[in-house]
Amino acid sequence: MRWIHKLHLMLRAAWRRPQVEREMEAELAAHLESETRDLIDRGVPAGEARHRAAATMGRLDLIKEECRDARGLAAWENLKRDAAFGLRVLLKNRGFSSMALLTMALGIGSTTAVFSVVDGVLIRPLPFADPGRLFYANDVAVRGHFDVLRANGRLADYAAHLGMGAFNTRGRDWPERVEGSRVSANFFRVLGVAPLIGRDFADGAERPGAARTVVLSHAFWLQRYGGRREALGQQLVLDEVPFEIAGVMPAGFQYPAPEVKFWIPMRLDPRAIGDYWGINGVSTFARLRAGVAPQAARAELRSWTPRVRAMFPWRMPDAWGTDVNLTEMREQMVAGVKVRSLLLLGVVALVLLIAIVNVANLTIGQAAARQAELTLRVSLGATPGRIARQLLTESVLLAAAGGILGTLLAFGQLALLKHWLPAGTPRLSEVSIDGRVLFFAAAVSLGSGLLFGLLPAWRARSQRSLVPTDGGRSGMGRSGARTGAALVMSEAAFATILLVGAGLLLHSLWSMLHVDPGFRAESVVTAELSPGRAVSASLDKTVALFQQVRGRLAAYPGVQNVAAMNLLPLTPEISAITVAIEDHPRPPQAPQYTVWTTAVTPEHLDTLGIRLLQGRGFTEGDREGAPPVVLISKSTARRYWPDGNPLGKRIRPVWKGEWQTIVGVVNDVRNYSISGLPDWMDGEIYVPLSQAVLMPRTISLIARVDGAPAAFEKALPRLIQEVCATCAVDKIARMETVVSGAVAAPRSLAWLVGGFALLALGLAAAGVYGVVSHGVLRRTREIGVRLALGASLRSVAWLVAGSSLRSLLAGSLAGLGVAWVLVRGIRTLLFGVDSHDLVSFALPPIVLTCIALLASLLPMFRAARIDPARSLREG
Amino acid sequence: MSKPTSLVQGTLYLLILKILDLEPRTGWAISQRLRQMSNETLQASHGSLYPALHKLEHEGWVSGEWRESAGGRPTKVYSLTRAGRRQLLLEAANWTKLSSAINGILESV
Repeated sequence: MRWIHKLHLMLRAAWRRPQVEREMEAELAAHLESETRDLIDRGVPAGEARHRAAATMGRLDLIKEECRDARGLAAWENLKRDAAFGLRVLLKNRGFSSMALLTMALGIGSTTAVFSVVDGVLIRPLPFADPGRLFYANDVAVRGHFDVLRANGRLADYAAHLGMGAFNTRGRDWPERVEGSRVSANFFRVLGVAPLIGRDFADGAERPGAARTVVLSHAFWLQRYGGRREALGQQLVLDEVPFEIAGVMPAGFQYPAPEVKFWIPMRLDPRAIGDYWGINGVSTFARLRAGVAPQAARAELRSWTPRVRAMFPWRMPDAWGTDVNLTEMREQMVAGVKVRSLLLLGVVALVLLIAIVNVANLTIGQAAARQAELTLRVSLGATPGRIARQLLTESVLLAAAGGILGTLLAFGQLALLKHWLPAGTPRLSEVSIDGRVLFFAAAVSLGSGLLFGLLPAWRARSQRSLVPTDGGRSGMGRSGARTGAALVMSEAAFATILLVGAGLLLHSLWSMLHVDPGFRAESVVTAELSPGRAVSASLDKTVALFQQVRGRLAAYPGVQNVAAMNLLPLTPEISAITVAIEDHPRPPQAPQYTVWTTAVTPEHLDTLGIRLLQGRGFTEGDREGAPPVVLISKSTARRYWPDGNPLGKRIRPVWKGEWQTIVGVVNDVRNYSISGLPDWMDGEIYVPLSQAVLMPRTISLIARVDGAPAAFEKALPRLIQEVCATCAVDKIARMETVVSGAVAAPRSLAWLVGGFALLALGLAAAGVYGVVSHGVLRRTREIGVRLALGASLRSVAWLVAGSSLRSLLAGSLAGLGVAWVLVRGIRTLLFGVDSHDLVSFALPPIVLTCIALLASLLPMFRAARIDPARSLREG
Repeated sequence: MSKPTSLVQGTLYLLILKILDLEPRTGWAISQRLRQMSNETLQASHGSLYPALHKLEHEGWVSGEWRESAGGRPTKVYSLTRAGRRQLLLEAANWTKLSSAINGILESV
């Protein structure tokens, strides 16, 4: 507490200077007056008394000066003087200042921009009331389970949503797809967010027979209803079912996903057994009640698991529900981006460190150049401490300027970051540079200033060379060379770590881009067709609709093939069924085979250019009622029939009696993601759309188009409208876009890290250049002597650059060591590359050496051109 | 120049703290009291008193407060803070230790 008191007095002394001065004057005057009166009382004549009183006081101006000192004002005055002087010095050495300023601004700007993202995405509390008490209930995924918990939980309030779903709604010209979420009635109340206008769902809104109501998101309300209050009570038709608009949520409320446009109650009907107990897909969360510890709520949640298991209308495996748990909601939400964000933060921290080392290096060079001035000041009585303070003040000044410039830069960098980061990054839209981030930038700037300022300041303090022995020409000697070596070494180490990381990510990206997706994406246009409830409820109608659509599209000029599938390739949505495989029986207790299932129309293979390896593809004859058939992928064939012929073998969904005969084997296709199927998949099959096991709510159209597809893309909604007025069409895109979208996240990360690594490389090069050229300057005389004595240019070049190169390599090796350990943290981000990949580890030292050689060329050249006679005369 | 030669460096602080321990006083009253208590032996120059007072205030051991004097003029009255009382005990103890050590040396030689 004492320092607060002192700071308060010091600041008062500094800011309210006139008042403090007046008080001091008044106090001393009062003293003189009392003393005078006292003397007069004792019989001294008035004039004499005044004189004597003044004499006891001594010189008033000196007393005042001492009082100011005592109040810490002197330190303040010195600081002001140092700052003013420092500013003059910085303005005079424009080259040095602008270089240092730019370096700091880059470092601080990058760090600030990335910090704002990490802060917004990872650190900032969720925009809900008391978010610390919100927990995600892992593995409570069945409606019945959630319903039982909500009705019986005593320690927590449970709510749920079904994730995002798309619905058809009336648009201006034709039906539009809008995304919304189906939620439990208490969804908003458990999150603790009230509607902006209107009300949220009444209790029991999920029960059959309840009035259908919808709550709109702020953005959707503005976009579709112009933000008018009259929207309340109007009808919003979703999949041909009218919902009454009950309320509008405040701006910024966008749970469970940023693109959510509305919320409607989920259905909770215990009598609809399949729906209630049979389908996973509920996301359940809970708010702990007041005073309840997470452990207690977790225990209560788990205690219900065996009871719920017994409530299932069919027997559940004993292992059901073992993973039920409560995790902090924020943890759950950011789990997917945590590693990425922290990686980026680490990367910019390294860039900042390199920047700091660079500026420290510049400052030391600057101090060496100012040797004469500093020596003069020491001779005039400045203590080493005073000199150190002066240098430190200059550094902090520089860092502050760098911080301001860097913050301005950060605004631009953040805009770039937002553009570059994958769109799915949670809460990215909320990220901005606000007070917290500015505070962070200020702290980083000040810290950096102290960091790069301390080294030169400490050197000045312990510098014997500052003692004027040699006419101010003593140079920085061996310790200067040692510091230079240390700087180069640390810079090389930091840069190496960055380069290894960037190398691994770029290599991994390269591997991904060179994965053969198994199909030909060029000239293929895709679109998602949502026929609406009346059609999608029946497989016959869906297939018939597709045939009409295909007829219409095929008539469009340039269209070669049109096909449909339930899900496009490279779509990270699960489409799998549990099957029995002939020749490979499983004991009844063991988990059955789960295989990826794609439902396709006969033209699918031709449209996507997927190679048929064996047997035949689907034909129009493989329709409902005909013998069920499947195609299997090459690796599935290899796995189950390694040396036999899979044709004619059979597969059967576990809940069906009828076997499906394998009629063909096709090349492997990346249907789920570039890195392949999830590892718990046991194989991959295709079934005819007309024999689909799971009813698709939407179908993905794929069309191979000759020539420019742009016109076709534009005409697509109208063409479909002609044959199906209730159909909504969206996600019109080229297949190539779909493919590149599949690597969007790794690509942006690799480019970002690569960009920062490049920046670091540039900074490191500048640093090496600084150290080597400084070395040449320092050793001009020595080089002159050597040249005069007949040293070869090569040996001189080695003399000036050799030691730097050696430290560079040493630093780089140290960096490799650190990177070797650190890469463990990013292993999950890598694909198709070993985390200790030889190339990524071998290249950085080589690249660094080349860069360092390049950076040394100019100073080496300069050293070689030193005129021995002149350097000796002047040295 | 204004440093009292007869006062060991730092002793002035101790004496001021001791005087203020009895009651709050103005700077002038402190100087009077100092003269009386030491039977005029310690003639601290009045000039050195104020820097000392301001230093003590800066350390948070005394606090200054502006009051109306008898004559109606505002005067600054100093009083001891709690931290000042602690400091007084500490410095008094140090002083006793130091002086007894010096006495011991003087007597034994």
